[in-house]
This record gives sequence, structure tokens and C-alpha cells, in this order.
Amino acid sequence: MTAIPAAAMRAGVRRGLIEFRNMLQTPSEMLYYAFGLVAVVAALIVFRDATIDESGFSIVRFLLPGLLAMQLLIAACFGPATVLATEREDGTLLRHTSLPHGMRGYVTGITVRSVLETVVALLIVLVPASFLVEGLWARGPIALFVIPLVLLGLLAFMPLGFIVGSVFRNPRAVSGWGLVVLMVLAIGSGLFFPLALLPGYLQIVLMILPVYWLGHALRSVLLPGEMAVLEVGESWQLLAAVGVLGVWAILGLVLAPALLRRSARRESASVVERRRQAALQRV
Amino acid sequence: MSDETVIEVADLTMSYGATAVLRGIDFEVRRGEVVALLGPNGAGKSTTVEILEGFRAPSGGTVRVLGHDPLTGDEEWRSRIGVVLQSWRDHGRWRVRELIDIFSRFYASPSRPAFDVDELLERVGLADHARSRVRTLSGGQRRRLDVAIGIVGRPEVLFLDEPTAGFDPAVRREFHELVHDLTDLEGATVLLTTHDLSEAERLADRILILDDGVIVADGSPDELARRVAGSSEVRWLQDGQRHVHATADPTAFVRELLAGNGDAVTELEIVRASLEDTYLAMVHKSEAGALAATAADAATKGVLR
Repeated sequence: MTAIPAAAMRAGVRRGLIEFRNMLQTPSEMLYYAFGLVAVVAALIVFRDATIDESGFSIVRFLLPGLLAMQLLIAACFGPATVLATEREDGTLLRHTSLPHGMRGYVTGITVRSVLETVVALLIVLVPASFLVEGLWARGPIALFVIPLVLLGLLAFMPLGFIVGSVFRNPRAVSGWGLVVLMVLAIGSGLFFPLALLPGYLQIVLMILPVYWLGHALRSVLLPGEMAVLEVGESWQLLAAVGVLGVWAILGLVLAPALLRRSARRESASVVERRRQAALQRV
Repeated sequence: MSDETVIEVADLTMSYGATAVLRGIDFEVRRGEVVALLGPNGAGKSTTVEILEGFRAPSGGTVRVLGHDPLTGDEEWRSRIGVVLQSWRDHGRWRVRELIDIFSRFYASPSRPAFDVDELLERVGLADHARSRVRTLSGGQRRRLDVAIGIVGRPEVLFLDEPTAGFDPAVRREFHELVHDLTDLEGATVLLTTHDLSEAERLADRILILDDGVIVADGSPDELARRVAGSSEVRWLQDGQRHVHATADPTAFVRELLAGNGDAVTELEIVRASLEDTYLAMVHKSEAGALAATAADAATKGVLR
């Protein structure tokens, strides 16, 4: 690589902004966000006074970081995976392979778009929660650590999304099975109940994966310190969380470009045409 | 047109497993030429173009486009090549002008600036649709958008794979005019594939006929017409009986025929095989081959079952 292809990167940023705007102008997408907002507000109101057993800990307080992690998973991991799989089928990726530095621009575009969608998805939870959940920001500046943790989450999960989108060919499988796997991981990894309730061997498996640690890290900065008793080991392990997420980020950032290049190399007009014929037959 | 060779293909072969698609192809294209790769479906046209575009690795032979192997062509090389892809449902939410604009931004070389987007919209006849969403365009408009995207970087070499497949005649004519415009004004070298002879005759300076992975004819439309005119049929009636004779030199044959038999010959007819006849015969042959293969395949399966 001789020079940074600035023009392609700028084109990619612009592409991401236009894609984001197009998304905002699509009624079905807006309906999805509106539905999410209504669901969050309803849940916050219904469970407002509920507590976990006799401990007195608020259920809503515990769930909130998990909800944030879930939103990040969907927007930053599931999103790019489905976009990539869909756009390999419809020929968007092929168009970019025929441009100078096209893939860089393309990946930049998806990244920008997914980051913006993640911000929207997080605000949908955080804004109503700020009004409806008592004491959410009571820890003051510590809660601001949410921002770097979200950035680390993006670094850990977005490359995984790109990997899934490059490895699996069928966009309907990625959006269907992908969502199932995501839900199982999200629920299993203790985003919505304490992981400590699961058998020990399952805990170990799930603690190798990054999902638990994203939830744990967010809880550690958003929940009162004494709620650590609900965690595995009954303590906050922010450093461990940052470490595991960091390792996943590095793994993803190393693997994703290679896999993306491989799938881009395999694109050609006749491959896209064959997929098109197959898709038309399904319709 | 200059003497500079921009596309060189030597002994190009391509196989998918045991199936040979290209069996040793040689040709060259000079700067500014418009060359049509003509052949029936399955002749290997698209495979050839995809190899030249760098999207596929050939099984054997050498290929050079603008002096580079397309497989290892760098981004600078890429910026000198134009590929017109068929839009299907990609970028449906995008507005026409924005889409052409975003692709033009990848070509930021000061020495060879990309097309001005509005000028290009005008050129391909989409100025009135600049703000339309891509999914609302008709098939012909979409195709013009594809061309605009393919040429926005002012490519030196432009590849068009089956550019008018699925067009109605009016849209096809419009498209032909657009290609003429481009080559006249920009001096681009164009390689297009088609299975439509009349399209090849209209657009190309030179036609390469590809059949079953081999180039069976190479020349200008006129040259090819003259070459196949070699075989003509002479038909006549003599003593109440019909006669047919195929010959390379019908004039000489008829001179002798009339000199020898005189008044007995009536209803004399000479039918020249046109380029179209030859080409159609070729297409039929390969389609019959495909049918036979399918039948044989079915028979084998029947036996196995």
C-alpha cells in the first residue's frame, strides 16, 4: 500500500451518510425504531417498581445495561452482517470491486452507517430511561464510561458482523438464523438475568465469548456498586471485561479484512446473475 | 484508432471442473476499436470478459489489458477500466444523481478527472430523473444508469457484457446510439458481448465469433459477410427435375451450366448464404448439441434410477 486512498475513504463516509439518511426515509425502518421505543417505554413503566427477589435491587436497573448491549449487538453486528450478505447477492459489492479502492470505500460506508444506527438504537433506550429510571445517572461521571465501552463494543462486534456477512452466502439465512443465534447468545450470556444462575460449565463457555463481558462492563459503570453480588464471582471485573473485548476486537480486525477480500475476489457478474436467478425462483 | 494494443489474449483456456469453456482463444484489440464478441449462449463470452475484467482467474494462457495482468492489476489500473454491470435491485433506495456522484468520487485523479455528473446525466438521458429513486426507473433507464456508472471515471477500456439483454427494440436502439456517442466522443476502446448478430453489426468495428470455446471467425462485419458468401446454392429446373448445387463460385458454375444445357435449364436461382444464415446455423447447431446433451443426461439418469 503506497498511499491512503483518501478519495475512496471520503466517498465511503459520504456513502454511509446517504445510506443512513435513506434508512431514515424508509417507513418500515422507522416503524422498527418506533416499535423499539414503545417497547422500551412500556417495559420501563410496567417493571418500574419490580425488584429481584427480596434483595431490593430494581429489575429495571439490572435490565437496562443488557438492553443497551442487545441494541449494540443488533445494530453493530447483526446489521453489517445482513447488509453485507444482501449486498453480495444484489451486486452492490461487485460494483465496488470494479472501482479503484472500491472495497475500502464500501467497508467505510457500512461502518459509518452502522455506527450511526448504533447511536440511534442506544438513544432509544437511554433517553426514555433517563426520565423513567430513578438514579440511572446517580454515579455521575463514572456513567460516562459508557461511551468508551460502547466504542470498544463496536470494535469487538462490528468485525464479527463483517465476518458473518462474508462467510455465509444466503442473506435470508443470515437474517433469519443470525437473529436466532444472536438472541440465544444475548439471553444465554446473562444480558437479561444473572449468568450466575446457569450451570458452571455453561458459564465458562459463555465467558469465553464477548457478549457477557459487554453486558458486565456496562453494568459495572451503570449499576450501584453493591449490585455486584449478582455477577459471577460477586464482584466487578472491568479490566477483565476490557481485556476479553479487546482480544475479540483484535481477532476480528485481523480476520475480517482477509475474509472480506476473499469474498470480494469471488464476486463476478455471472456469480451475481446465478444468485439472482436462484432468488427469483424462490419468489 | 491507433496501433497500440490495449487488449492481448493468447491461448486463453478456462475449465470448470471437467468442462472446458474456453479452448485456446487468441485475439488483440487496438486502442479505439469497438469489438463485439458474438456467440450463442454458453459459447464462453461472459467468461472471457470476466477474465479480462479481473473477476476470474483463467485456467491457462496469458491475458493483458492495458499492459497488465487483470488478476494483479492495481488500483491505478482499475481506474482506467470501465465495467458496465447490470443492475438488478442494488441501490434501489438511492437517488440517481447521488449514486452516479458517489461512484465518480472514487476517481479523484487530477490528470484524468471523472465526468461531471450533470453532464453525464444529460449524456445518458437521465437528467429528468436526477432525483428519482433507482427502484422507480424503467428497465431502459436502469440500463442507462448502469452505463453512466460504468463510464463515470472516463475509462480507456470499457467492457459491456450482454448490454441489451431483455430490451425491447426501441430501448435497444436508444442504447446503440448511446454507445456510438461514447466511442465517437471519448475514443474509448470497447469490448462488448452479444448473441445478437444485428447488434454486433451495428455497434462493432470488428466481430469475433465465439462458438464452443473457440473463435471461429474474426473480421469486420463486411469481411465476415464476404467470407461466408463463399458458399452459395444454385437451384434450377431441368427436364422437369429440381437440382441443387452448392458452390464457392456460383458465377462460373452457372456459366458452364447454361453453356452445356442451354434452353433446358429454367427457374434458375442463386442463393447467397448471408452472415446471418451462417450464424443462425451455428447457434442451432450448438442448441441442438445442448439438447442432445440434456437428453443423454436424462437417459443416463433414467438408467441409473
